[in-house]
Amino acid sequence: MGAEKTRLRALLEALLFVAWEPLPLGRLAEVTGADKAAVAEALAEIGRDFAGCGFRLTEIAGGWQFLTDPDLAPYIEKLYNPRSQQLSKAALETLAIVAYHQPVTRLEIDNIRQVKSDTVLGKLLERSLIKEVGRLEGPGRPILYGTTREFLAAFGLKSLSELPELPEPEAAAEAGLYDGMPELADV
Amino acid sequence: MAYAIHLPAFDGPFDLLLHLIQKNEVDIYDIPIAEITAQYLDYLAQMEAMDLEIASEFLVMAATLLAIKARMLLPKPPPELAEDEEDYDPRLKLVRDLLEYKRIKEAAGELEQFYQAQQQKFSRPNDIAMYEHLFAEQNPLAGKTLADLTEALRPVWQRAKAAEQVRTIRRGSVSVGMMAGRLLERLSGRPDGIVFADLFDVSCGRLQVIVGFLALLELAKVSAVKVRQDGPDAAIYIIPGDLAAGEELASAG
Repeated sequence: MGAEKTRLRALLEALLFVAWEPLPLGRLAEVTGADKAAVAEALAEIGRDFAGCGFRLTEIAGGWQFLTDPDLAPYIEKLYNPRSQQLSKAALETLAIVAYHQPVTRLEIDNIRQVKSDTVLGKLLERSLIKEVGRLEGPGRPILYGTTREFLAAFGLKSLSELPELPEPEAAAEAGLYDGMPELADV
Repeated sequence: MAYAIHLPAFDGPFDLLLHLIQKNEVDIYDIPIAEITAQYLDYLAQMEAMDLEIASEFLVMAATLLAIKARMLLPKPPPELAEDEEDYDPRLKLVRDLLEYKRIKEAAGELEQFYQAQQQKFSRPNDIAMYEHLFAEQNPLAGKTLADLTEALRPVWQRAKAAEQVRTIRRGSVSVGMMAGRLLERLSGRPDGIVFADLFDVSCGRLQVIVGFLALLELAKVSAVKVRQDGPDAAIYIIPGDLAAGEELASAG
């Protein structure tokens, strides 16, 4: 039993070592032939053992992946100078709308931003941060957009439920709007 | 004198409006429309002065602001006559939309933090090509030499050689001159001419028909033959003309 456990651990470490994408628990169980509970247990153990290492086992985008310690990033940049891909303000806004309102149409995005979003949407699609998830049953059957696994991975989220809460609409104050008409001086 | 103003770039009209509201430290629920509209239009004017293209969205918002400003000057209808809540306050829809945009803008800022943090963590690069190479199927020719390959080819080569049938295919040669000669010959005894459709012997193949037609055009050009058609759908007749003029052409080929 002990030997079997050790072997499963070694096997998982090897798989995670060669993978360039988060590996879901189900896939790891399928490849190793072990049951999910055993894999989860082994993963937890690996996670503990690698906690202080230069790279850590990270749960991300619905799977598991070895990622380097963020504190060491400057040295990796010194070594390879990887290009970081920046996201523009427009891209982040559009992405936020898709993330929080998905599935969402281009028109809804345009309405919230008050700007045409087709170019930005194209770029996000190209980078696989969003995808088409269907069509709205209605006039014109517009395309509905949603976020992808790549989105979760790029933002370090395990799942969409980890998205930070959308700031509250300032509802309490909104009631105050009806209280008085603006003073003439304001107009 | 040319001078440069630093004009902050805004992603859209709401971005600009929020900036103005924050800069003026006014309450978003009680926007001094006249003041904000003036500043908004001023910004657009600055953009125009700098020859920057103003996106149409900015102009639409300018119109909306002016419409709200105008509506606010009208007396407020008594509550029982108000048809919608905007009769109370024409700014209502704008404020709601602005707030929704503000939420998203804040969320986008938060997401950016996540993104930047994640950019500091590196994974193994996506190098599927390397793995495909590593796990490629075994080379079926591993260990074979060139001599092995030629040896294997030899019997096939010999069989192919034995089966080969050598044959020379002659290229049918038809020249314009030759066809011109034939046409002249046919026309010489026919002062009434020949119907165009019957001029060529189609059993001789397409090449002869094409070259024959070219020869006919050449003969017509030197007036050796004449072409006559009596009506739009009537038959075309080829009539002998100055046949001697065509001899040169015929003898050339």
